[in-house]
Amino acid sequence: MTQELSDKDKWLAAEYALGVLERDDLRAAEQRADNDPAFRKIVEDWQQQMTPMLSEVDPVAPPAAVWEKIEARTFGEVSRQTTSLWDSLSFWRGLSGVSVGLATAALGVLLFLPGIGVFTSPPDGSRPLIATLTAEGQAPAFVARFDPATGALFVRTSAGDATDTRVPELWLIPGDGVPRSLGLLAGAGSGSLVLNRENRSALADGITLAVSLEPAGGSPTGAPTGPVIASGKLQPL
Amino acid sequence: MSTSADIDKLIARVALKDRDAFKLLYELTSAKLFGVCLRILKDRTDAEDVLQEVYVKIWNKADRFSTGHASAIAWLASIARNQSIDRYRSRRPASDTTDEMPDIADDGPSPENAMLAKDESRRINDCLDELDAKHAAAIRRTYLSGWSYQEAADELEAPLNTVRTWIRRGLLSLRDCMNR
Repeated sequence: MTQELSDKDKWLAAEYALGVLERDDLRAAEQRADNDPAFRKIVEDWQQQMTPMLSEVDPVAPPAAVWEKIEARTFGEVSRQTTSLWDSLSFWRGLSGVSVGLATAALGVLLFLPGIGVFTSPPDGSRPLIATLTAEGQAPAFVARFDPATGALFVRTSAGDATDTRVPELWLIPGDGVPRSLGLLAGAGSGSLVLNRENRSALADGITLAVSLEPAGGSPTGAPTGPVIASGKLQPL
Repeated sequence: MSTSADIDKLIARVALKDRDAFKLLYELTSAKLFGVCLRILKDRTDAEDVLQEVYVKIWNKADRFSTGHASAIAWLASIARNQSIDRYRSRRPASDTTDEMPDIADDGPSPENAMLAKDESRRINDCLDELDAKHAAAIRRTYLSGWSYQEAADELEAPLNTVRTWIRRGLLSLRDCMNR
């Protein structure tokens, strides 16, 4: 309980949570919220009670460029490192077992709680798809996540053989079995590929993605010429 | 398991700088938060900028989110609202709302710290329906639009002190109803 706070303080907290304060009142409230746990508790309790009003707000998918900027600002430096914790095999093993498991669990729950209102699931057909690309018996070498809402295909690459001058190229294997190039992948780290409309609409549940090693600049023939080092199917997250 | 608990877990992993968790959190929540930003800012470019700030802040401050207090969803929403309101206010001069009015006594218990259950949004709407229509409309529109008291007074075409009274009385009744 918070008996030590005056009515004036309690109103300041409630009005700060509502968002109506300006200037001096706002600055005073921000300072209190940062430094006074009892005050912060009241603010958080009000936020908690008001948040369900946001069920009225329609979700709007932001453009893919927003995520790219966030990614550059939050882990740009890490992405450029050729080896790091994130590229280690144990991380990839962990990812396949834990992250994807949690992701699936989280989404499963989210999608079946329509009444939550706040984080509405996207309509069918716009759910993100994920593929974990492995060579047989090996740890995942690539993880691809496709978001139909934004058309972005993110690919995480584990550390490859640094002495190999060939580059990994990502292929989509559609129903006709003829591979279509989606683009070249970074040697390690994560990046996103820009897909044309045709390739975007071809990415669907159950479609196979594969990675081959190609000469610098990519396959000269438009079809895979080097060894296929990993493959996997797209599945709903 | 509740949705909020899952988002909690993701935020805990984001606090450990788990990039996959961050990406997943973004995929799960960005459309809703973008909607919240757009509703307040009414400008796509501004809303895109602010959404960026929101997620950079989430990435940097995830370790300060304590699961014992506000729910994860309320925490994320409040970051999006506060960033949007900051941006909106910085576009226009602030008005002076420091004129005093008598305080309405607030002796009630603090709101319960319940997780956002699936019936939460229905419950708050039921509670808003119980309020005086003017009070309910003032709270709902002010919250969703991110208005200051002055903006609410301008938009609702009522004196500022009157609007403040509507909102304060409404908030007290709302809390009583939510805690019943």
